[in-house]
Amino acid sequence: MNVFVKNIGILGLGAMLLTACSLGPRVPGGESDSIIPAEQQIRPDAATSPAIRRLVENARQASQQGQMSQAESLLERAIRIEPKSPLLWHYLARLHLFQGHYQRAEGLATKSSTLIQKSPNDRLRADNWRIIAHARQFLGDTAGAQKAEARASALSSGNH
Amino acid sequence: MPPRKKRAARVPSKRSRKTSPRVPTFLFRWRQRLLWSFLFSLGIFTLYVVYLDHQVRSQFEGKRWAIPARVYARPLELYQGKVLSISQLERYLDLMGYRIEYRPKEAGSYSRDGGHFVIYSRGFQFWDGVEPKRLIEVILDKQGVVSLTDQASHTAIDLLRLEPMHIGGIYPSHKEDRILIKLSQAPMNLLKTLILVEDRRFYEHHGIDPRAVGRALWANLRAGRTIQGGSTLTQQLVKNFFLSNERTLWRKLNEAIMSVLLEIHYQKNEILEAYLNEIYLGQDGGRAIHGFGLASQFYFDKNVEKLNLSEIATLVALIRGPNYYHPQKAPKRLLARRNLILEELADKKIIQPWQARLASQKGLGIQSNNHRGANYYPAFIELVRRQLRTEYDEKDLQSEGLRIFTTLDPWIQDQAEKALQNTATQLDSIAKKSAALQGAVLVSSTTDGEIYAMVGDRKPHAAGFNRALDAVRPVGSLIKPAIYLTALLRRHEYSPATMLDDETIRLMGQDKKTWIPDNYDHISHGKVPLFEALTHSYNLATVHLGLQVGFESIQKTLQRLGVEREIPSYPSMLLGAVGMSPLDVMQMYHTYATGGFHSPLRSIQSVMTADGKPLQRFPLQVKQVVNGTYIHQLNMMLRRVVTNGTAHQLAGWMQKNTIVAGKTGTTNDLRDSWFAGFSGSHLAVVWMGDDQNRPTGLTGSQGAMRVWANLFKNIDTQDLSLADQPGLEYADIDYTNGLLVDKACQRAVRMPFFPGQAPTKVSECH
Repeated sequence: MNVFVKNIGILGLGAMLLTACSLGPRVPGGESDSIIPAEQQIRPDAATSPAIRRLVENARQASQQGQMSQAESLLERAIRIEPKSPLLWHYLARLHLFQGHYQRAEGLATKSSTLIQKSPNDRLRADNWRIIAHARQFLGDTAGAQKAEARASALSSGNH
Repeated sequence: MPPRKKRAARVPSKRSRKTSPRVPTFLFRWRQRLLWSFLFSLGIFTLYVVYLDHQVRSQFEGKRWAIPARVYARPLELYQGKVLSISQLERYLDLMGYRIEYRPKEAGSYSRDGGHFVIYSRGFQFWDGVEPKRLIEVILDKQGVVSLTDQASHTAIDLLRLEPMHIGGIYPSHKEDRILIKLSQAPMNLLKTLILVEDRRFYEHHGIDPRAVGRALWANLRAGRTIQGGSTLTQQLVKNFFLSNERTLWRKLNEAIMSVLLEIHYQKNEILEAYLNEIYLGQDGGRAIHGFGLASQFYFDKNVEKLNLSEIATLVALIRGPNYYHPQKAPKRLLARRNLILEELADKKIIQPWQARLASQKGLGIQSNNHRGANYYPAFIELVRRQLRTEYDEKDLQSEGLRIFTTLDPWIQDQAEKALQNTATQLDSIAKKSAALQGAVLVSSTTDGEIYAMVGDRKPHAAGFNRALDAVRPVGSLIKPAIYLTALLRRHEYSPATMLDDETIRLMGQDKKTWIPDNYDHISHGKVPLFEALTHSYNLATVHLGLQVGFESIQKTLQRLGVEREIPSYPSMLLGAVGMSPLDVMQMYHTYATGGFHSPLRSIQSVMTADGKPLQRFPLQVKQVVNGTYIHQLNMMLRRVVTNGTAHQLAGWMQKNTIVAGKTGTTNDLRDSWFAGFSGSHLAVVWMGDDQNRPTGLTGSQGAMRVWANLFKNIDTQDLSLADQPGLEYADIDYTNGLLVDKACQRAVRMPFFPGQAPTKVSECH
């Protein structure tokens, strides 16, 4: 985790993830969003069904304890139950990004965005682009990362 | 050195008293050479024996009785709102061996009153946590699960998993299908018969038995034919290890040495157990039947413990030559040998004469065309076995008692089996009599690449040729969407309304002969819009389009879609003269079904060691390979195939209006019947045809599509989402001329376009 945080610092991408953390409907009294660590990235309150909430909460706990593959498995179960939820795919993308599985993270974030349909959720879309930007940066595709980052910025500025 | 000289001089002089002085020197040297060469040979021989010892021991160790890996299906997840019918839940409980009781008191039982279930679950250690055993109340209504309550604490449960169904045991490091048995499982009569017939002094000799050779000779002379052999069980076992039938002296010598070595290292009973599991007892197509466990299942459809006297004698009779005594090709010969063995058993007072008489009167009782394998879902298990071998380290697989969690959904598997079995039976009367109708079905998720069900034979429990994996057949029109997608990807050149020529064309084929493709209805339709050509699967329009976009582009598209086979560059490829297996087809259509994402198709979720330690899991992987907007355009057309095109009967056969899309495929002379289609949650590919490639008389919609419809009729599946895409414009097109038309017009078809792509001219609606 430390290496990851350090890398972000070096690459100057930290700011991107800071904004990336603000996602999903806010719950009054919920924790602050401006924190990097992955354990805080999974927010059970964002999902609606009790089964999904339970799985996401368990995944959050597992990732907090560093049990990443368990967290993955729990999120995948949630996705099998609600495969059309862009948020669940987004969470899973983050979990992979955090673990350094960049290609997987990019694929999952892209999938998340394609599932955003009826109610335009530009913020989540922007967050997905940020994950993609990170992933590409780490894979050495600087141009691709910049493109993705530009998409994220465009969406964010359009939203605010 | 003087003393040496002296001695050297003395030696011949000593000998010289007896013989001439020259010969002794020669003899001495000769003897010395003899001694040296003897020692040298001994050394070589010892090394050779050490080598043989190593060989035979590693063979023996590798094939000893071991705990098989346990293979599990996907567990049933229960949560409020889950779509689940009463019969479905009952079927799951039944498959998992739950007993129905008035009041469930112990794990593994349940009670039911209408949609009200009380289940005492067994509990299970999963990859991501422990599911406790508990008493739960599940209430179902017509839609699915209404509530879940823990009976002990009377609290609502968010979600729970029932333990997964155990679907089989495999030996991942073995290539073949085996049912290994322990010595204690073998009926006493089997052991006695085996020893009497094959090796009477088994418990006395040391691997080889010279007396047996003489005795066998005598017994055979007396009987007038070969009823006994001279090889000991140990020798036969060694021979089986190396699977060679050559009868050279060298081979025999090697076998003899190895047999003695084996006897030095192992107990008699260990050798006997290995023999029971190793001996070759027949052939089922490409599959060798080794061991009494699998042979009992294969020939008699029962476990080895249940074999009766005449069946035991039959199996022992087969040892001498499974082909010579072939149950189908030489039943009389086999019967005679079986009865001879029974006589012999009575002679030696192992059984009573009346038992022998009774057993002799029975027929062979061979289950014809049984092909029964070691597992209940042989086709799926075969895929698990193959994926384990490609994805895992050989070393990991050797650890005993692995737990393999698969993606199989027992309910969907059931429905797929029934759909193929029943439909094939119905179609037998329609299909050509000269053909033997066979089929394969594959079902997967459209969320990821998880395979829910796989059927490789219309007799679903038959092991052997797995058509879902290994029947590589021309795909016919199933290739077409890839050609249309190649065109759509060039959005500045092609749109769904681009007009194509559906006109006769002459081409040079692969064999330098003229190739004149034709439409199925032998009619040229003139100019047709692109979407309409796919809807009705027009061959001529497709050939024209394919030639315009070029083979190379199409090959690239197919690669992107996940097709790994080499695609030829000759014109008939455009009409699907390309061999693919149903699994290959599924990988290609999976990309359409997921909206442009590639996920490797897989049958395994995770693997745990015997003590519950996670070994490896296959993560959910998706990679966008085609922009979803183009796939949306394509899927709108594939939807129209189902509503108005070659698959228009589908909704009626499914008996529901779920939004699905798909494509039929038929090959020359009606040899292969294909259907690939998907809903919002499931993708299924069906192939029907004849193993010998004889025409079946069925088109894609007459054969495979019926199976597909019967399958989807019985599974809960979601609508394919064809909601309007941002970034696209939707226009109503006249399907006769590709122009804009009023939406109220009967000829209007709503199609998606990139901005600026849609036609501008308007067609009059009369």
